[in-house]
Parts: sequence; structure tokens; C-alpha cells
Amino acid sequence: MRFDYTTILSLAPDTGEPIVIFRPEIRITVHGPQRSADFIALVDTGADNIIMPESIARDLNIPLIAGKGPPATAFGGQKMPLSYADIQLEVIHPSEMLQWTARVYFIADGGNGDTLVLGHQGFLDFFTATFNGEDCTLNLEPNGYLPRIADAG
Amino acid sequence: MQMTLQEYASRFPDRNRPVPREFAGQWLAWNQDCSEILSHGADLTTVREQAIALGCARPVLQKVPQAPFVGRA
Repeated sequence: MRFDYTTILSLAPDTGEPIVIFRPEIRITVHGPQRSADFIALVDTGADNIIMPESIARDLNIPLIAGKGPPATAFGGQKMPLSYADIQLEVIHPSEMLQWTARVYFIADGGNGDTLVLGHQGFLDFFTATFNGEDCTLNLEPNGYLPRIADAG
Repeated sequence: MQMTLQEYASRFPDRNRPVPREFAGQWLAWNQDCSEILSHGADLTTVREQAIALGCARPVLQKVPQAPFVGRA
């Protein structure tokens, strides 16, 4: 499954000039108890887990469990208390539809980094991921560890 | 990867236009092929409902980071 990187306009931190920033993001469906919604999520090899803002859990009526462990530590040292839920995720791609259940951690909304992040546990562990910097594409091939519960491909 | 908008338009003429800077930090609701922004704002549910009211039954939702993104700092 090949995905074009998404792009956002920003200002270069060095020159301040307008630039296009590429991000390895894909479309996923997050399933709640009654309904589901489609989101754009960052595939992040530096993240240990799947992280989403709590507003998604509220919007989809996903009941959350407060984490008993230590808070997550972000880049820069910021501590973030986590809650979690086991929910069904789905990768959206024209060639294949993969669905599985994963533990997703939720952080309080606000701050700079509250985007959806797909890290290793529950996501990258289930794929062979190739980041093509020249073509600005991400290729994801499911591996044998993917606990798929549906495949419409 | 970073490049100017002119380079981007030249190298990737078939791809969608980048998300404009003014949406940084906001939720966006795209149409199904992510070619048009239907609604935007700070509240996810409001943004989704606005997109549905505009006729898109299943918008694609995106939280735009404050670029450049260097993690959850």
C-alpha cells in the first residue's frame, strides 16, 4: 500500500521563507461503539505507541480507562498523563482494507503536538514500512503479526 | 523533506495543494478525496458536524500541527 506524503505550508525556521513540509501521514478509520470517523494520522517511528487527542474519544463516545503507569514523556521532557482504550482501527487505501484492534493511548487536548500518531505498538509492529524520501511516499506492507479482523482487499 | 511551493508544484503537479499556514493548530474537515477543505476550527465535533451539514456524510478529519513539528513538546 503506497501513500503520498501529506503536505503543509510553513515558514522555514532558518530563513523564515515559505516552504512546503512533507509528512508521512495516512488515512485511518477509528471505530467507536456506535459510529466511526476517518482521520489523517502521522506514521512516527519515534513513537512507542498509538497516541490520539482525547477529543476523538469524546466525539466517538469511546470510554477511556485511566492509565496507572507513569505519564508519557514527550520530546523536550514534557510529562503527559495517559488514558487508553482498545479500539478497532482500519487503514484506508484503494487496494486493501485492513482492520484490527489496537490499544490506543489518549492525551488531553491542547498544546502543540496533539495530532494523531501511529507508533510501534499496535501499528508499525504489524507492517514493513518503507519511507521513500525521494518520491515522498510511504509504503506499508502488512506482516504476519497483523491481527486482522477484516480484509476487503 | 522541505521545498518551496514552486518546487513542489513542479515536482508533484498531480498532488493536492499543501494545507495553508493559517490552519495550523486547527481541526480540518476534508471532502472524501482530500481535495477541498470543508470546515475548520478548534473543536473536532463542531468541525465534523459543519462538514456533514455541507453535504459530506463522511469527512476526513485532520489536526494540523504547528510546523515545524518536533514531537510533543
